[in-house]
Amino acid sequence: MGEARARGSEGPRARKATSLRRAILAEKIAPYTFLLPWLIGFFVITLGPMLFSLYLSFTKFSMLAPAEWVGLDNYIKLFTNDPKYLDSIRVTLVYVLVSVPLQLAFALAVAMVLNRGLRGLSLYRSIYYLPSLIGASVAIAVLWRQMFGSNGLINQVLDFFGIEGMSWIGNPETALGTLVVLNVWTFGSPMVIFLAALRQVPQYLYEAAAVDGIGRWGAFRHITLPMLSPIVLFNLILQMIGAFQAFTPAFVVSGGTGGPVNSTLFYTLYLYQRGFTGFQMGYASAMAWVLFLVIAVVTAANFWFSKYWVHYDD
Amino acid sequence: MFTQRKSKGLKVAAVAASAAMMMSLAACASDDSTGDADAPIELRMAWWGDDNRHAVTNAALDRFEDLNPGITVVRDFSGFDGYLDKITTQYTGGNSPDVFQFYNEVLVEFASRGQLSDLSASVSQDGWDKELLQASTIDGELAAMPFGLSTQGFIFDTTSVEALGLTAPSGDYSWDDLADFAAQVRTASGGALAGVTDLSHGYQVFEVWAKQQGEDFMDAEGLAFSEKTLADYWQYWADLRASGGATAPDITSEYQGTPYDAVVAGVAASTFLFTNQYDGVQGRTPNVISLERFPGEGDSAGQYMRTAMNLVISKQSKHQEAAAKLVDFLLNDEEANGILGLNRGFPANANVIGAASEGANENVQRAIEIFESVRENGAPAPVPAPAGAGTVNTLFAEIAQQIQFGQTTPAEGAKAFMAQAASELG
Repeated sequence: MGEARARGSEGPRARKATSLRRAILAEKIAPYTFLLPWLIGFFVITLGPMLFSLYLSFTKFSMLAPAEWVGLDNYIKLFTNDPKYLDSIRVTLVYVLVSVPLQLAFALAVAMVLNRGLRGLSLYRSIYYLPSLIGASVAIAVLWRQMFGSNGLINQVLDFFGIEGMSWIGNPETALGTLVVLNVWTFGSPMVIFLAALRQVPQYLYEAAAVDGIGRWGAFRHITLPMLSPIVLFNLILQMIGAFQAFTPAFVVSGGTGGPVNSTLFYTLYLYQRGFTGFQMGYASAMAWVLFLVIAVVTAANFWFSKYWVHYDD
Repeated sequence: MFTQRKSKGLKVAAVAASAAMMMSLAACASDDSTGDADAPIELRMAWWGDDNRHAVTNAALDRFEDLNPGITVVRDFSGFDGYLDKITTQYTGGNSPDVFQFYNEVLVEFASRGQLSDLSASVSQDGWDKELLQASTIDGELAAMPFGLSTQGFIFDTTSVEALGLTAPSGDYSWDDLADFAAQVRTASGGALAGVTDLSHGYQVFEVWAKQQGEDFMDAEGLAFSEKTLADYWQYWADLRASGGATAPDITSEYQGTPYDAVVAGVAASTFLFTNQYDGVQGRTPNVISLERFPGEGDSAGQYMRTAMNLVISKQSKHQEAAAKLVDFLLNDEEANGILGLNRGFPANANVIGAASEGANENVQRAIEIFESVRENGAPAPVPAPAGAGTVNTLFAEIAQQIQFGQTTPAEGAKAFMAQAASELG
């Protein structure tokens, strides 16, 4: 290359080659220049801290004193000497496995109702979408606490029917249930995606099926569901990742304790407790990386299993 | 071609990452302090509180700025949620406030790691109780000074109690008296009202119980009570749940953080609080709420003058002298305490209590009476607990809850607590 440049100064032909090379170079640089704000954000704000936390996960770090290298100690303690950690895994798995399928089923059902050419569709769509926007907020979690408390709206309604209520958020049997209901209630964003996908299903398939006398359930089972399956996969992955990382509702409803009796101790809530109130940021970092790996594996498994049930209509 | 581009990308990544690291290193290395005496000084002070506290504190800081031209105070105030996260994160970034309000449970975590400045020489202790300051001395240094004191108290909803034809305990009454009273309330109300909130999960209540037995919750070495004391305490509440005197576990759990809310909501007739909360609680209900000392105080006092919150100076502050001046003003200046009032509790400096409590309403007067009775007849304040104490407090509530929901017995729970707490502190 140096040779080429040396010869380049000799004649017009070589000069032309140089300017061409410059143009190519500029073309290569230009996209990165435009990407620069994002790249800086990614490397400085996301990747940098992530790698730093990976380092911290091998240390004992109180945030107030320098980190001390302890090797795999944090990871070993997590799985061998921390019963509360195992509690938090159990709570989180139940939450993910119950709330995500329920939420998706609910979203699909509502999307199908809305898809039947309702008048004022856009209004309904907005109304149902609204909880998705605010569902993870502190305000809604506070509202939930009020509704499911011993003097809350739910008990007042039950009282009207002569049923004696209880404190739904204060009972270890039902506290997690109220958070599942909260997550199901935020079905709006998968619903909007389902609704868009339903519009894409070719009408002639239903017409042909009707001619064959397939019936409503059969049409759903053999046409709608397979045609929607890529969207189901998409929503499933998105919502599962979200559910694994859920924090705010449990934090607010339990007052940061994860109680009663650790029944709402979400993984991220326990991580927060260890890191910020227990001054064990190294330990918390190790927890974060285990969660990262679990989400990666679950997502990969979702993709892998998808070949058995997702239908791509090419 | 493709591989070449890829390696270039990696190189860019490496450069960016190391640049980011260098930037953060530079930030750490830049706290060189150049001492120019006349240069204007900017202090940052952080506190948590309600709107009223923000107003009085801002007014006091304005006055400080008037009196000390050349020093401005940047104010960083918020509610309690997230306060510790904020302070800790700022510390980690080398960017802590110069002066800030702090709570007891985390003092040791910060002081034992050398993050708080010694106040013993820089702030006047004229008018201060020496024993009280001992409670803020960690590793031989006065790491914090109380920015408001309070003591424990018991409140009774006398309006509801009298409507049931009963009388609320007052003066000297025993734990057994409380238990009898609580069961009577439940019966007389036809099951609608609990006599007292279940306090078995409250380590702050147990602390007084232990002190009444001549023990303590924690000292500098760790747990300072016997397993039997704890088992008795948890058994006391188990009996109260059985008699119906105490709230049911799900209700208890709902009001875990703020038991006085259960009294305001009309769920329970009595509970514990700290005296600085009394006026606010009374203000939220039309019922008359009476304030008394704890049960069992007649025999051997367990209540003590308790630091509600502290004022500390960060070791990271570049303006130690100005920061000490501000702390001294807020804690020891009569005018400042006249402005601050009793929002944070009673001033620890006896010389300024008068200025602070001027114009106090009758609720506050009652709180002062209780507080003064503890000054005369009370237990000494506990010495700072070791690092890891916060986790032990959480554990206390957790195991108490397991007992409440019948997952374990008081005796088994006490045994488990002793073992697990020792391993957390070890």
